[in-house]
Amino acid sequence: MQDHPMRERIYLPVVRFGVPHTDWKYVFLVTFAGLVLPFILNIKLYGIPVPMFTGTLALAASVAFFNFIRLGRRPLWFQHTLRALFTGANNRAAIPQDDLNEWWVKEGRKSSDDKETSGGKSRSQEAATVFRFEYL
Amino acid sequence: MDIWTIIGVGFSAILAGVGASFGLRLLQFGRKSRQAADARQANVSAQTESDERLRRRLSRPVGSRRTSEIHGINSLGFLRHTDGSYTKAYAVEMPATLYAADAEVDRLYNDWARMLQSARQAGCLIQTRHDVWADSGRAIHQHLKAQAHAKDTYMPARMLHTVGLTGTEGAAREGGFQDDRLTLWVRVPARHDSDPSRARLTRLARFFPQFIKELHQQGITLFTNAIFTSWTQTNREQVFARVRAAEREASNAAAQIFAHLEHMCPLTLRPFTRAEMWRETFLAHRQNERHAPMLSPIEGTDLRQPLCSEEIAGHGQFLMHGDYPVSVVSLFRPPTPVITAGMMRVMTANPNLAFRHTTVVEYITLDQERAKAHLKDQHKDLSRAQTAVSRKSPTPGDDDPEAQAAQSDIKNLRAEIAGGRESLVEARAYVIVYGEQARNRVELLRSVERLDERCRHVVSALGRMPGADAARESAQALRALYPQCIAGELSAKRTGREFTETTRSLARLAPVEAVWRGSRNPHTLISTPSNHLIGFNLFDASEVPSPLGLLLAGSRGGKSVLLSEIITNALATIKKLRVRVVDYGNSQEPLVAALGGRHLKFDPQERATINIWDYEGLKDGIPPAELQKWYVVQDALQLARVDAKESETAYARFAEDILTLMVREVYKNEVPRNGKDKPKQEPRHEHLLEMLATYEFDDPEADAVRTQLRIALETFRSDPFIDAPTSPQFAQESPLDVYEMKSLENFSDRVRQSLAFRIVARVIQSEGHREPDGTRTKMLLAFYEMWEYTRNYPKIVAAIDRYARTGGKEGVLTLLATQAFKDITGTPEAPNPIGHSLMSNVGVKFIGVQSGDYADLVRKFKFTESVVAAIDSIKNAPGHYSEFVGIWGAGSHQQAQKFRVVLNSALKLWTYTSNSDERNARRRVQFLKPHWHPVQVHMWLAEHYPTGLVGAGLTQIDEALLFADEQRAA
Repeated sequence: MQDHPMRERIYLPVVRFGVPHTDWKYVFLVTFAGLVLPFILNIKLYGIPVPMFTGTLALAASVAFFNFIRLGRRPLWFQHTLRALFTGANNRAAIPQDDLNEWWVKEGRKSSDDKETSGGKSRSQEAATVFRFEYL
Repeated sequence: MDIWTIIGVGFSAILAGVGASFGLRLLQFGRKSRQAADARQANVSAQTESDERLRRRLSRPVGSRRTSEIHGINSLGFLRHTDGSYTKAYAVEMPATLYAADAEVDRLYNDWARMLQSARQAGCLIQTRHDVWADSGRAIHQHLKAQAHAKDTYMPARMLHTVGLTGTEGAAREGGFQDDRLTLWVRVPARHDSDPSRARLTRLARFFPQFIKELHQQGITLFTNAIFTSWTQTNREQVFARVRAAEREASNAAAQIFAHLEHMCPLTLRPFTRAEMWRETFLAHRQNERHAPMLSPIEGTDLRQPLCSEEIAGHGQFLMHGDYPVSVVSLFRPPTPVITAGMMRVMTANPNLAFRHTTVVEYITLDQERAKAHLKDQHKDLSRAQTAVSRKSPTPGDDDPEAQAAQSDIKNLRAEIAGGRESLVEARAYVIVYGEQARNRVELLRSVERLDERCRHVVSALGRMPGADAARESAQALRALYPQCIAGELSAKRTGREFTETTRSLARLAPVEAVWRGSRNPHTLISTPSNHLIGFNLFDASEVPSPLGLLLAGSRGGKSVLLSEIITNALATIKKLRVRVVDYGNSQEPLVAALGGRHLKFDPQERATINIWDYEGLKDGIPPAELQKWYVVQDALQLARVDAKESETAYARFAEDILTLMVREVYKNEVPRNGKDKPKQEPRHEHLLEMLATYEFDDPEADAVRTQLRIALETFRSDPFIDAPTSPQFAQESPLDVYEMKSLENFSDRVRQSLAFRIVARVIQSEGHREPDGTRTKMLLAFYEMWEYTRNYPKIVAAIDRYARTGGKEGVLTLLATQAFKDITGTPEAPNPIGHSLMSNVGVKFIGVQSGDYADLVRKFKFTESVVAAIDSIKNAPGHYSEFVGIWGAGSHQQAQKFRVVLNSALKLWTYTSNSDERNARRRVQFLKPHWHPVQVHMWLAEHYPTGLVGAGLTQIDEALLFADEQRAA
């Protein structure tokens, strides 16, 4: 059978000091913030202006961070970890209190079938409620 | 003080004392009851608070709510997603191209690539889902459905067949077989002018009001919960409704893209109906369910509630989806540096993957201009980096080779996609692996162990693709990625597992090829090397276009076992089937003995024969067919020593014409003597001699030939085998007749030739019975060891050739079994034209192990390289299985599939075996136990040697076991 090329290297990031070229913008941003914020806030430690070393520290820390999340890790490891952290280990089942009952089709103008019922809900909403409880 | 005063004061004091003490008691009682009331009140409020807490817990259980991107299903059966996009799904008929020509497979994938390329809209997601599960016996079910009623099938064969079927069913129940299917899911992003903006800033703007609302509802203590809930609602699960007209417009726009893809797709697609779509998505979301409830007919209903009503939890390398542990194995690096069609066969035809898993391959279409720009930027970045390295490097030779290779790749890729000749597409591939259901801790432990093992199998299967890197997803990635792996939840969101390449390259990742599914009404079940249980039906004209089959296998290639299996299964399945076998060397003797068929032999002492003049219908005075007359003429020519090789000479032609005339005259005289209520009068050789003696030709040359023929044939006047009516034993009807050709070796050459021809003519003429309703029952003719007939009985081959072309109309299938193709067609130096003619009409071929060169076979039948490779790789495990390559059909329409004949029953093994040691064992037991029925002999052997002697590594049985059984019984 005919061979077809698989050029998986073409999108490999260009790396400097372990930081992909796409991430350098964040490094610069953090370094800038590390330098400027203490300067604006005029923070001093034992009389020494903090911006003297926070910029360098921010640079080192951000480079270390981007190295940490990339070296020996699968792609988007950090993003997945964050997402897993936010969603939690338990994706619980939906319950009626979640009120997942939003229609994705609405009538352009109120039709005669969609009159208000005694409970204050439209007829179509009632039907959806029946449907929802039916399969709990 | 007088006495009355004293009494009055005293009495008053007593009364005051009593009153005071009563009052004090009352006060004490009052205080106590107040205290008790307070305590009770406190208790009640504490209880209420606790209840309220529990109630709140019920309505707000632990964990974040499961989300779904599916909002509903519209009337066209499309999934309507929460972002307004649509998904349409299809059941795909997988092409059985495992043994097809390379060019054909390439063409299939090129067409698939063209389909991917044709999807111009960016962000379309085309997902193939190849679901595999342990087959519980789909083919068995089809087979049982195809089986005729018990009263219409041959009971002894049915019993033996049932024993084998039970074994197959047991193997299926243990999960020994796999079944699979392919579905195609296409998600098209659909935007309408009225849709809400999806810009990040808008989302952020929506988040804050929602967050404040949640904070209001949940309270300040559940601050973090409020953040997550509002984030989920505004970003992850943003839902919106369209007005009906807008919805229709968006749906129509998506439908146009679906229709375009359907048109371009090289595979046969069947769109899911609305109910099917609901069933698929519901069961994929709710693992514990076995059936989907009825879907509300109202369009617009929110389906998230029923879809998400099952928990997905876990923090390890697996998640519990309902009661099922599940894990994901991803392909992190595709096959490199090249990919070829058929690489995904490691997933679709892998015997080690007979468990529940789904191989998912997703293609995401890109904005081509952006993709090109990205590629250009990448090239620039690499050049910059390369320049920087070069600047620092003292010698230009120290340049980074990785960067150089990447640059060169990008250059080539840009050249390929220039001018729209090719398109870039993103693809990702992963496998969802499921464990067994686990309802308690013990089951869970066992299930997780199995899941781990299954994941290892999947990783090693993907690793078989050269250069590929597959691994199990880590716990974090699994939690992040699994929700979008569920059927219907396909999403174009980046997962970090994407590869970008041209459509032509990445199309090769689609798992579209499958094993042949077999016949829909199979009579014989077989298993493929990939552990798919399939079946075939030799009488199915849609698969076997010509009623002639060929069974080729070298010595010990399992030829007799396959033939016996076909005979037994066909007799047990097909209505009123009759089988006629022409055997050589008693290979079918034990089968005949076990099934109670007739084993017909020619014994010089018994003088039982077949009259070539006899035919079905003679008794009723029905005139013979031209074919019948031809048989008689050929027999006479043979007896008169008019050699078949001389058929082109004038004498031979003259002789044949004269005999044809004579035979016609004899039949004209003799047939009218038969009829209803009359004794049967068979024309005989003697009548031909009389006719030759009395008939006179005007031409002296013709008369001379006639005289010569008469003199030559006179030798056989009153011969008990040539000039005698058909013996009753041959005239009787039976479902299974086996004629033993080796028994003819005791006869003189011409008689032997004539008897062999008579056997074949009789077998060929044995058409199925005509039923009262006019239908004709089926018939299976088998010729074992064809090499013997081509070598010693050339007339037989001519007779088979003449008949095999027309037998199909009468429901007759002829199966020729021999060792090598040359046995029938001859060698290139000495070809057999009749053999070649016969082979031109073969409708089904079973090729077993080949010991010699079989290039002529490959040439004749136009076998593909894959078929040749399959034949070369045949491996037999004596006592377990024998392998064959089956080719159904002919020419460009032929369908090939390698298969195994697994008997699944020791009784069958001992009934079919033709191994010399095992035959001796059978004979020995029969000798020692002469009163036993052959089936008893086979059963005893099956009980003590279930894998046969060869399988057990033995050459003889332990006879002591026979008597030990007897002693034990005593």
